[in-house]
Amino acid sequence: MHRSWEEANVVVRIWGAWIDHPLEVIKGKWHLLYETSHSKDPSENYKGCSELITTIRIEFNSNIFMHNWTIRRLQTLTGVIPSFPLFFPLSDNVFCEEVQTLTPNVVPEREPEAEWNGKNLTEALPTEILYNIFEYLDLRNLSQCAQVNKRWNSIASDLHFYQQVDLRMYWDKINNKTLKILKNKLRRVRKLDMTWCQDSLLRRPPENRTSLTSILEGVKDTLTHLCLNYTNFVPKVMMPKIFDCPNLEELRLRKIDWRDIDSWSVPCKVLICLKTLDVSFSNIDEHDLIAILKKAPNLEHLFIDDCNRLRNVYPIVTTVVNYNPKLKSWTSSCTFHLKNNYQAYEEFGKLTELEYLDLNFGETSPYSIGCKWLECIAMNCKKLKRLELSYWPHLTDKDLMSVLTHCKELSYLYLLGSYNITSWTLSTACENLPNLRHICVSKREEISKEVVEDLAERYKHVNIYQLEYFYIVI
Amino acid sequence: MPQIKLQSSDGEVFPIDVEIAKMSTTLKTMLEDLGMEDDDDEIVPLPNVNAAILRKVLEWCTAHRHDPPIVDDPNILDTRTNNITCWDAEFLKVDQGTLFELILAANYLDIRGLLDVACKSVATLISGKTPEDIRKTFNIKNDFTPEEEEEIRKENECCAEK
Repeated sequence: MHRSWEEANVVVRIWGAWIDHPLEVIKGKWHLLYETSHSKDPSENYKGCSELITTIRIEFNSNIFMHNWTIRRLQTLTGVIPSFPLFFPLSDNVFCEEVQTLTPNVVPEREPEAEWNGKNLTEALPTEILYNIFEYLDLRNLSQCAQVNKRWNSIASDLHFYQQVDLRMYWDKINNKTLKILKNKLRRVRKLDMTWCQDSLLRRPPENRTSLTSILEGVKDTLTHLCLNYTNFVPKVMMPKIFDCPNLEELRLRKIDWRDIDSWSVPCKVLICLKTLDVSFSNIDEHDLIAILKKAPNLEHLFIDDCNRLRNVYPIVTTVVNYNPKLKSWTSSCTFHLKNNYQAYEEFGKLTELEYLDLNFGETSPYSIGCKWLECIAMNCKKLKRLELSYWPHLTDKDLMSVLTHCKELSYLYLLGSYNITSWTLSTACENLPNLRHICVSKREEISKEVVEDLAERYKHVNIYQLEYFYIVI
Repeated sequence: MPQIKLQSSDGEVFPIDVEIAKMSTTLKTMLEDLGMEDDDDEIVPLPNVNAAILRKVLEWCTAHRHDPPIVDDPNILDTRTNNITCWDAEFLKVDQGTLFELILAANYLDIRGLLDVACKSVATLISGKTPEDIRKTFNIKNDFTPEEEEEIRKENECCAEK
């Protein structure tokens, strides 16, 4: 893609964390490196200092294509491939991304040396050493090495290097045809990440068998991690294939279109290993989700953010209570809108293993609904470490009191956009919660700068964030 | 501190602390098997390592004597790739021949940390290069026929560019 930042009509802000000392990152210090209006192309301005950036956070409003495109531009900016992009919704159609970049290596170029003890240098290295070296190469470099000569080809093509395959960076190159070629190398794949891969030739998920279907069939007993976030590779016929992999530990199907999957029936096998299920931003319905939950007795992490066809929290949370008692994480930001069924939220109190609960954007009712359920959670979920209750406009200090009293493990409390929260909550949280590390509230007059500064001074181990709008700080 | 003496292939003798020698799994096993720890006069010959390389190896071991042991965890395989510390980068600013000899010595002596960082260093030499560039860098001869080359190019083209 050759569009400029302006043409894409996005607001982009890039924040970077810098290395001040060669080996020490100043944590939590973000610098605004670039904003859309500042210049035409960030790469012009920041090429020189790119190696100083260790972590980058990008905020932009976009659709998925622009998202991919931003990742590519990031490469231009920093000259490195992001090794670990995280992807968060900001608000409607706005995404925030955090990317850890590779620390550029400082090994200098050397002149080629023809002979060494009368032998060619690389020929003198035993095969096991070449394996060790190739271990540090990514897919792109392995593909180059495979073309060097016969010996390198046989090593670089070894399936050993294709057990964990991350195709995110090749999102625009992956299509049915290229997958067919890759199939041979994916015969022993255990972890496959195809996030963002979009087959531009496919308008709708195809009805017929695709290369991916046959890849999955081949590895169904060994596959442990499958990530198909934001792809259009999941046709109707494939869903049963996915749920036919008995050793799946992690399954991520963000923004997958489930509407075509109406004929799909309940997975008949028990997914005994499944620990992580992420179907955020998808249109999965209650029936399908419950069917999966019932087959995953060891599920620990459930991500159902912004699922527009899940309306009622009650059947989902009761299913989890009955079938997934080990659940540690639940995120349902923007999914459920509390109207008058807030008793359903008391069910969370039965999930005693819960460590991470995200109910952001949960309340839309114009009237205060009381937060007795919050007390129920606070009294029972003793392991709760991270609680997010952003955009609960009626949430008050009083409602949170039980949480601040009982959840002693709490280290992360996110209350942005819950405008009734005052500095009382802020100071009580700092005082009461020995493990608190991050607390986030909205910038409001009621919470004065002095109070925040005073707390920051007294509780140095707590990061207090006061933000104007919703974005995520890790 | 107890010491032992190592002798390089070209006859030079290096007295070193046992603690440092034990960073080499090969030497550690040998010392333990033979019960040589208290015997200061015994000289351990290393017929595969010359003095220049042994000096480098010992320099690395001395600098890294307090490193925690490397743990094999398949789950962190994909994250262990990136960083070469400044000290190691400086240490590895050597010609290709020396780098490769260091690798062979680290392999022979089984010094995992040194082997890993030296292999990483070679990987960075490969990284970002086209097959032709790689051949040039390491002076490797292309032994494919044009037909084979074309076929292999097709097999790999999907992921060959980022």
